Amino acid sequence: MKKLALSVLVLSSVFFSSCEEAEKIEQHAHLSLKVEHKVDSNILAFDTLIYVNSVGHKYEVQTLKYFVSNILLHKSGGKVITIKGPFYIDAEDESTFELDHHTDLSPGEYEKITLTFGLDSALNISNSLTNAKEVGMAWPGGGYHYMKLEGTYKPLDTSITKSFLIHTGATMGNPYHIDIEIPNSNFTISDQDISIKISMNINEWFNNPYNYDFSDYPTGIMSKMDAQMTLKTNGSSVFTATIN
Amino acid sequence: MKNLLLIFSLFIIISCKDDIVVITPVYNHTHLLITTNGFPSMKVPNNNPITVQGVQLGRKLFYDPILSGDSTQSCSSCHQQKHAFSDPQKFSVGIDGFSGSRNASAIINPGWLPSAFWDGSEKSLESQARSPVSNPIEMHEDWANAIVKLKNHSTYPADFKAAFSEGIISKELVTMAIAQFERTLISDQSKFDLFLDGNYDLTPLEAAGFNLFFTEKGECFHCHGQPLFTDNEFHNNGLDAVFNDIGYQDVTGKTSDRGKFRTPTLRNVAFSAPYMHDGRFNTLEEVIDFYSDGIRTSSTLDPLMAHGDNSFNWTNLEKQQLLAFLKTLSDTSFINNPDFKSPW
Repeated sequence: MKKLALSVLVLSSVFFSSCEEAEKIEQHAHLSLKVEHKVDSNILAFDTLIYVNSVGHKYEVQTLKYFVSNILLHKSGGKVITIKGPFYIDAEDESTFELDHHTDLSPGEYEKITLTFGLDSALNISNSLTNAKEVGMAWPGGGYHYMKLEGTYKPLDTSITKSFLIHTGATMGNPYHIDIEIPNSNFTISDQDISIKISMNINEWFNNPYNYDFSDYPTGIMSKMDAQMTLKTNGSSVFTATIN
Repeated sequence: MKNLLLIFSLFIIISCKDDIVVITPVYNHTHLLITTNGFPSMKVPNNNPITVQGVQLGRKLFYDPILSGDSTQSCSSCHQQKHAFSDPQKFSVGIDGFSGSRNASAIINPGWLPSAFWDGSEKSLESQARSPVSNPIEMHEDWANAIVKLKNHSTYPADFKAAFSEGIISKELVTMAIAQFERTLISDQSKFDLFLDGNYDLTPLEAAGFNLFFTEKGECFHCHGQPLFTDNEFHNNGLDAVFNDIGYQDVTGKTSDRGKFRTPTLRNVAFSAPYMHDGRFNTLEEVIDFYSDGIRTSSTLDPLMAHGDNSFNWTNLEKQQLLAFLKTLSDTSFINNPDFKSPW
């Protein structure tokens, strides 16, 4: 009987201790999660032909719209916090940059952030999104564009400016969404609010590990699986995290 | 005591068993007026919900020449139902015989417009409805005078009271009622919609046009995608190399917006000639020829237009196919809908 009473005492103290902790954190450790867009170390400027990729093409960006989904915060010990999406982001519209601003995080070590670039097969369902901007990402044949990245570039062999149109999605029915583990995205929660910026480096789409050559794929890549595969591979390194 | 232990243990397990916590972000969700074939939710201003009385009043005002200076023109003079609420004239002519420099836009599914006019210079249907009444080259009426006429009318005072309950008649309430009526001008019953519903089989020519339209060979869909057949954004589609009308730049002040205009919907496009912001093309054949072979380069030309040598170079057969498909977007129930006709 004494053992039983002791067990109750121990369990009670664990229970009360964890609830107390949770209450404290709900008040003090809010997460702010935003995206930003850069070309290497500079914030992306639209409509200016100033960037250069590893092929040597000078280029400008006129449109950058995309989805991210399945954002997961992985806590030490196996707990996973899901930030419900999907999120439509227009890099010209700051009101779309905020992925989350109210999540209360419990204290401890968080090992990493993972997300899906685009929409996985469970989410990439026609007519499942009802916001007009999201609907505007519809992909002919079903689902949605993962990304529209459009602009112009200077070819190496002529001074005539040409277009590049990067439209990624489920090409020929094959999914090309990218499951990404964001490097250096570990962080610690004590009692301070935390701000995390997830930064996309546009040049990573074109440079790493493969050169994405605009002269090979200027336009019309929606049915080109090799182009989609190159972008999927390069896309795994486009995001980095800054934690404050 | 055993029961007590069980209860405590259960409580703890329930509290802590979830490894995954799902958190839904806060959205400012919108009113949903209609959802057919993937139509997005319509954003209706919180201060102007759509009501039966408001729509009835807006419809009367839309068709009533009382709002013009000499009581000869109404909104419907330049936005005619049989032309998908557009004007078959290149430039509409106001009560004093003057005309502007842009074609009157068709009013089709306007509830989904994030802004109004070819250059997006008005941010709502309500604010858009203000300017034609007082514009000297359009209806050329003083708003104060228009309100006096409405107050002295035999039925409008009661109509306004039924629609808004404030018991007043004002410019704001006039435009709110017109906006309510406009939001009901929904077109979603074209031949193409019937096809999507499985109630119509596209002809081989229409089907070929459909395939061209929705692939990069036609490259129509990135700006004119389903279901609205407009992205409601601003593009320089290559009409000119030098601009008489700088369009969206006038609104944003950015040189990168020079020569950009709102993408018009292609729904009912066969009814809404002439085409482009300045009504320069009289037929769809001319429009298709332009996109095929006539795109002009400039610094703001949209990347979606600037393919290689700036020409899509469609064959004559492909042009016929596109034309056949565009005609499947005609919605005769829209241009004949009795609820949209003049109540007078």
